[in-house]
Amino acid sequence: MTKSHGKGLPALALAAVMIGAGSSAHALESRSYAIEWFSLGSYSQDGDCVGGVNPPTREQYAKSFELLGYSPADVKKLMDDYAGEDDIAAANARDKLRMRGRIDGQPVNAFVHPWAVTDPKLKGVSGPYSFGFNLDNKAGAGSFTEPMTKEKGIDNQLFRALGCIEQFRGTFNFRPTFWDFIWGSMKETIPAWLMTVSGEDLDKDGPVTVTFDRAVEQLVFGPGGDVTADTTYRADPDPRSHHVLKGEIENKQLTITEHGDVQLLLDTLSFTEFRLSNTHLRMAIEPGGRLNGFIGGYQPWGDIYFGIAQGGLAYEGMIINDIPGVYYLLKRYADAGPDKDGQNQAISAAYRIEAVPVFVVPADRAK
Amino acid sequence: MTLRRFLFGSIAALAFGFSASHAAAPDRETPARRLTPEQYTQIIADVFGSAIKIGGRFDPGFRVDGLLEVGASQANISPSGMEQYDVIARSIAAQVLDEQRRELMVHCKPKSATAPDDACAGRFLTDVGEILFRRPLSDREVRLHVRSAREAAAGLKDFYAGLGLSLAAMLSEPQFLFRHENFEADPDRRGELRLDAYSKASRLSFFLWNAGPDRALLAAARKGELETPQGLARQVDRMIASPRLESGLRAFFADMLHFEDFGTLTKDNAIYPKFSAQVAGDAQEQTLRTVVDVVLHEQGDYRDIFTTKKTHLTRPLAAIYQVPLAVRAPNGAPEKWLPYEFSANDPRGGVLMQVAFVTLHSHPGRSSPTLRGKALREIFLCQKVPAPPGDVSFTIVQDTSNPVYKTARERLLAHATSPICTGCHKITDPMGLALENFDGGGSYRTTENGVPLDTAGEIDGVKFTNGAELGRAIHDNAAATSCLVDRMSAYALGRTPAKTEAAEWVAPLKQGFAADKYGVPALMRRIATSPEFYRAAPILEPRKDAALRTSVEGSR
Repeated sequence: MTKSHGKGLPALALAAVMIGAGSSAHALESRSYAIEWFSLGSYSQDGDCVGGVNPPTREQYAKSFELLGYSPADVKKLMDDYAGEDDIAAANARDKLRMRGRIDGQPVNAFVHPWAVTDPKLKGVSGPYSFGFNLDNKAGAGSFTEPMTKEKGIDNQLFRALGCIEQFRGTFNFRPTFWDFIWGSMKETIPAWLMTVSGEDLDKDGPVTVTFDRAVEQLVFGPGGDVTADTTYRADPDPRSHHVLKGEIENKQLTITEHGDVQLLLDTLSFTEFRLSNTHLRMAIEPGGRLNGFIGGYQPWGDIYFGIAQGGLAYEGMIINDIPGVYYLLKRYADAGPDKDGQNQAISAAYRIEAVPVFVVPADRAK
Repeated sequence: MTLRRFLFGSIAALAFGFSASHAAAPDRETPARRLTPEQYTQIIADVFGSAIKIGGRFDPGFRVDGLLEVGASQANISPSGMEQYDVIARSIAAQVLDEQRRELMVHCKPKSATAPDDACAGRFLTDVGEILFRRPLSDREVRLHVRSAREAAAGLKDFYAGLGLSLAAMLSEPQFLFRHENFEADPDRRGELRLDAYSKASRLSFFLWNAGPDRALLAAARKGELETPQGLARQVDRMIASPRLESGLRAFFADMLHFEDFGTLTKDNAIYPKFSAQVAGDAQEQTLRTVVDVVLHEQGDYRDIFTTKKTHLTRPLAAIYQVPLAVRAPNGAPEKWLPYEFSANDPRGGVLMQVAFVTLHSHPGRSSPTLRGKALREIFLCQKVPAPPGDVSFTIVQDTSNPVYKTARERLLAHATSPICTGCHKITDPMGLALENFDGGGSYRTTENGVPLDTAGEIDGVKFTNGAELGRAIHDNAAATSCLVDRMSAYALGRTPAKTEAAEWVAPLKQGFAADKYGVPALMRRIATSPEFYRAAPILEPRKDAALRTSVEGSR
């Protein structure tokens, strides 16, 4: 027997099986979702950054000039120029900031060559709590405790790395400013991310299959700005964004039990893709049919850095305190995937996601 | 004749409030209907092509006896409306005669582009004037318009600018903006009047196509073919076979279904997040497509509009219906329509449960069994529901979070305790409550505030338990088909048929409708080929306006 999205409308059964048929030979019921909110899983608390959060941009810029060897008088002048009304002087100061990397003594773009900038030694989170998952099944030093489940050994070094930058701070209900900005910009232009859950009876506990896809269509919003539930999306046949993992539902909670890889293409002008290995998922199935929870795993931190760095001085000035500093934070706290030199190339991460019920059909079934 | 004399009156008189009813003979109702925006647009497209853009605001219509088309017979043009008509007319003339189009539009070349040319101007104005005025221009009218073009061209030293001013003036004249009808003695009925040939053509064309007569119909009128039953039938059959009949049907049903009210419909986005301006437009189109499919494309039984499972959807509508609709279209493309058929066990079917009906007859933040029941009675059964008394308290029915009265049924029972309220609610609420499975935004639900909905009711002794059974009950109710004939005959005439016409013309039409298995095109043919359709109204009976008019607006 098939079931609807939760409002008891028999016609929905027809839709419910459309994508599921391709996902599992035993699936009798499928429910699909479009991800309407995606952000770093921040759990910021007072005192979790020793001595307070990292300095604001202007202080960081003054420090950058100092690290470049400018005298205190020159630093003051450059910072006055940077914030002043003389356009040419301001542009000159901005150029110096943009080109504050040094290779063989020559100025280079600091965002493209962050390793050519002296590490400003930004601080990371030292508090005990973080959202996320125990990815390595260990509860050693450096791991967090999950504030909601109280589980020990939570691996979310991405939050540790970025959580003392004001714009990445947030809680379950308060979204980090950076993600409010970046997701708010991307969600209306990128194809929607889709999840389909298939199983024998999704109203009962039991094993399920979780399928990730990217849609052909962009998210559809209602007049109030919310993603419109029950809209139909076509699943992009591009296999790069199609992943099927085993999972289960228990006590209205959806989790992944087969911790494989997930890759979802994103925005070619910003974060080009979202890649996770050892993928974990924990989503509450809400009474209205929405999903609300976290996805996590190990993520190549280079993806994160260049997603942030592509905004250059504009992002740095408005949102991020110090982009090369972010590079060093990510590099410092990376905790998986060591290269031949022992440098970890991946970082444990957890992202907060919310999803609304939709219909998903294979692209070739559209008319 | 009074009407004719008026028609040659000045435009200035129009600007101070031309009323179609002013033109009536003292003892006859001889309506001159103001063109609807759709008719105006169609005529311009017929004459100059659909590329001509029409920007501007038209005076709103008003509804009399359940129809805007009847209200159009009593419509004025306000001074600001006249200004708008003038702006629109000048814009059209400028587009028609701009450098890119003028050679295509004007089938003669002036001797000089910088000087008047009466011959060329006369040819153009005579040609387009026949379609705009739905009859040939008189010699005097041609002379007047050519003179206007000449004087303007001479002053402006531009033939086309002069011609444009004359064309704009023509588009602002009552002969264009109002559908005037001229009468002549009826040779078959001594002492009575009938429409003259061109007025007959016009009435026929607006009824069947919601547009002015084409050149073939005008030619038939000129040759007198419309005066013979065979000639008239030939034209009617040609027009009914035309794809343009769909426009006529759409206009009729959009009018009957009160779709102009969508222009002012608002919904609380916090309560109904899926309802948008796009949905409002799509909802109207969905119902019109459903109706047209049943009555025209499938040549089906009109009553099936209340039960059909077949419809058409767009993605935004499909989201409200919570059904999948995969459309192959690029992001940002206009919404694409796809046919859709609800499954046999789906609770939805028929126009009563479509988004258009249930949202239009609801409040911004809640459903309304009363408004829905009232609309159903008035629109589909032609039954009058009185307006509520002025001193009624609606506090209980408006309180959707009342901890005691959790469903609309409970709130209405608590509200309608006085006899004066109970009487009306008894005739509206049982039908409206059957549609409570649909909230004010059109989405399906089975509970309200956690309480299962009771959607049972009764109409004329027929019991039903849900919206689908209500649809079947309306399908089988004789008042539904009778109402359609009443509405369509009034729509065709532009007035409610007089008692004698109701008895001698409308009643047989109803019998014929049944004999035709409730085929709507067949009914249109019966109307269009009947002599009564082209006769002047009988001598006026004393009007009882308050009793005749349906007061939908006042009771919302």
